[in-house]
Amino acid sequence: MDAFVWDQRYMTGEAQVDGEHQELVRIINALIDLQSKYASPETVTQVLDQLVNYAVVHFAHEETLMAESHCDPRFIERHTAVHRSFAEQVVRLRDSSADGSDLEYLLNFLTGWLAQHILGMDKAMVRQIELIRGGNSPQAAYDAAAKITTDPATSSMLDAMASLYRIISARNDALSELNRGLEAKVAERTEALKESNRRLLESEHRRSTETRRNLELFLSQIIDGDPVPTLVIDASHRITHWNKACANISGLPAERMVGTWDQWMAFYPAARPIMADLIVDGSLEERFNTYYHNLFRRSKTIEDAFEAESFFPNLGENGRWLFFTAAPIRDGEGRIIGAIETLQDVTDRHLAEDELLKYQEQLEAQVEARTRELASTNRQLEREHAELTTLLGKIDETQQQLLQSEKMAAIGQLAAGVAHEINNPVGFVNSNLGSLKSYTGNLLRLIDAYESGEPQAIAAARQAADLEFLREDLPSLLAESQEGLDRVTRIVQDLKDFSRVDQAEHQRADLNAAMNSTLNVVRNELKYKADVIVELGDIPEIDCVPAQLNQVFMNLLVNAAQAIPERGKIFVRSGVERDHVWFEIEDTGCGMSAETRQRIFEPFFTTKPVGKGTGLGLSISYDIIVKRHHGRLDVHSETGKGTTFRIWLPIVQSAET
Amino acid sequence: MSRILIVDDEISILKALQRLLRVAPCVYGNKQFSLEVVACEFPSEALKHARQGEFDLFISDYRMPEMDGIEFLKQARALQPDAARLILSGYADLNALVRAVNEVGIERFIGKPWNDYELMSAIAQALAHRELLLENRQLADLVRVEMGDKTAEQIEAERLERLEPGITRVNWGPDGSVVLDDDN
Repeated sequence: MDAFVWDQRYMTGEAQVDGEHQELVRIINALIDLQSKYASPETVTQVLDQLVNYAVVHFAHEETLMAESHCDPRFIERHTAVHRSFAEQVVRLRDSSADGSDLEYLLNFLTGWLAQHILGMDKAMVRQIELIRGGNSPQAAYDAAAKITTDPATSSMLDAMASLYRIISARNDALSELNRGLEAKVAERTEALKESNRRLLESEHRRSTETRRNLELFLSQIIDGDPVPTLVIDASHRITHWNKACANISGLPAERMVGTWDQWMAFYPAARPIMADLIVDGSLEERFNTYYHNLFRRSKTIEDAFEAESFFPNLGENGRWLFFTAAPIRDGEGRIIGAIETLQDVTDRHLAEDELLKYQEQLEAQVEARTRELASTNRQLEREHAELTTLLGKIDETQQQLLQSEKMAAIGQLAAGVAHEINNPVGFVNSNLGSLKSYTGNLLRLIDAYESGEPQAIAAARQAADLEFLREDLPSLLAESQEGLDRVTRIVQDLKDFSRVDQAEHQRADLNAAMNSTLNVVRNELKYKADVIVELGDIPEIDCVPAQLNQVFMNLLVNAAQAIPERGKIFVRSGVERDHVWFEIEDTGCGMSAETRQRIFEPFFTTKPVGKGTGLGLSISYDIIVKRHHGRLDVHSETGKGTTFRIWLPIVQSAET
Repeated sequence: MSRILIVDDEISILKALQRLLRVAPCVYGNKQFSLEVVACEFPSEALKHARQGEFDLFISDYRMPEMDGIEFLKQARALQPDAARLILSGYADLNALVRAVNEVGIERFIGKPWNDYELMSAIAQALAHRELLLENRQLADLVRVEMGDKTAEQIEAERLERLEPGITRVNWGPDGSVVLDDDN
């Protein structure tokens, strides 16, 4: 920027005023010089201050001059207002442009304003003062000064300067106003931010405090609410937590314990470290051995934790078994800052174990006793079994005997009949022989008499011999005797046929013949009760055991005869139908009731008086027909009318038999 | 002459017995019995004979059609209580024997086949025993009459009663009529 060049136009004629104007110009030129040299803001401010101070002094001098000169008050007022306005402007500009950015603008303003002020206002002031000194009234001087018109060039320049100054001033004001508003807003905003920040900090602080408190409370509650007795100590072995369960088990309330170092009190009669203490000390294994006698072990689930189980005689009424676990509490850097110990009352478990052991022993004793009992029972059972086996053998034997006895009974019955039948002929043949002997004696004596030739002796002998009778009787005697012996022979033959040994095996046999031989044997039995009507049909030989079937026939025939109360008829029939032959034995006896008919094949069932029947006849017959010959045995009976048994036998036995 | 009634369903037996009784001496002690034999094949026929004439001895088989020997002897005893009774049987059933002794009061049970001598002795013994009983009774009656214990009428009534049991009693009907047996 160009320097302010002082020239004669600026001279007012008042020496002091001009001198001071020149000093102002000098200071402005110094500022311009500084600005061009990019001086530091401090230096610029210093010079600016100097300028302002000097301006103030100068304005004061001018105002004093005006007052001493008795200038028109209107002028003094206007002039003073201009001075005030300048001072304010400069101070504001100086403040706003302290950093030097607007220094050029400031300098333009200063040069502009000074030029305009000196040429306008100050020259008018001096003119008025001269007029007053010249004896004019101030009013006249003021009016005269106002009428003086400056040269057009200077006037227009002054006008332009004035308007420029106004514009600048207005802009400056506006800017200042804006600036102030902005600053106020900034300040306000800053204040608000500060307030908000403060509140934020405050709430954050409160929240963190609360959180910490909650956390502590939470932790306390967790520990306190834990049903497992739990205690926590800090690094100084002081108790920090002592939960309710712990209080319950030890009988020592938390109020008593927390904050103290009396944790031993809960467990031991005298002071000594508990496991948590050893954990805090880090004097783990060596002292564990001292205090816990190898009973401790490392926890399987919690790292660095130890656990042990021990009996505490001081706890509770009868002492308690506790299983306790102690674990270190570490800070973020892994330093041990405390330890937590949990206790589990395992007394019940121990009691249960003891009980269990006792119970087990009891059980073992019971098992042993039971085993002994079982063994003895077993022995008894074996004995009983042996007895039963023996009994069974006896029953078997008895059954065999019964079967035998049934056979024997049948045979006995048969034998009685046979005996009768044999005894009769033997009886009369025998007797006849006796008679024959006496006849022979008589005859021989008669012959002797004849040989002697004595008529008297002959006549006597003839008389004694009763020759006529002998003649008549001898042939019949011999014939009868012959017949009797024939009968005996036949009976013996029938018996032989009936019980032929060679018929006790499976063979093809003519059952009609078998029936006939049976009939022959039992006929003597039957004939006193019944007329036997035999109607045997033509039947083929069949596969069978004839001896067994003879027994069946005999049973049925004898039963039929026994069913007849007085005298009746027995029909014996046979026939063939498809692949079976059948035999039918029908009697006109008393018949059977339905109940009796249902039971006749049961062993030992009999309607005969005791000693008369074994009750086995029909049972055996059924066995023989159905089981051994795969046949059928049908019964038809009507009470009072008689009974019919019909035997069905297959002609050919299936291969398996 | 002693009358003997023999019942057996076996004719050969009857004939053999008749031969025996005809020729064999029937002696008990020094007493000899001469015999008259009636032989019957059926008990019913024998009972008919028993109603018609007096017999000293009944000899019966045990097992017979119609009725057995015990039944027959029971009926014969009812007809002729004083006659001796004897069973000749080949069937030696104990039950039958017991019944024969208890129900019929037989003198002897002789099994078949028999020994001729034993049979004749038994017959003679039975006859002698019967004769002795009768004689006893007769003598006792005589004594009783003499002593006045019994009248001759009573004795006659007893004799008649023996001959024809029931003859001395009248069977009155409910309406006052006399009921006569018509079964025989």
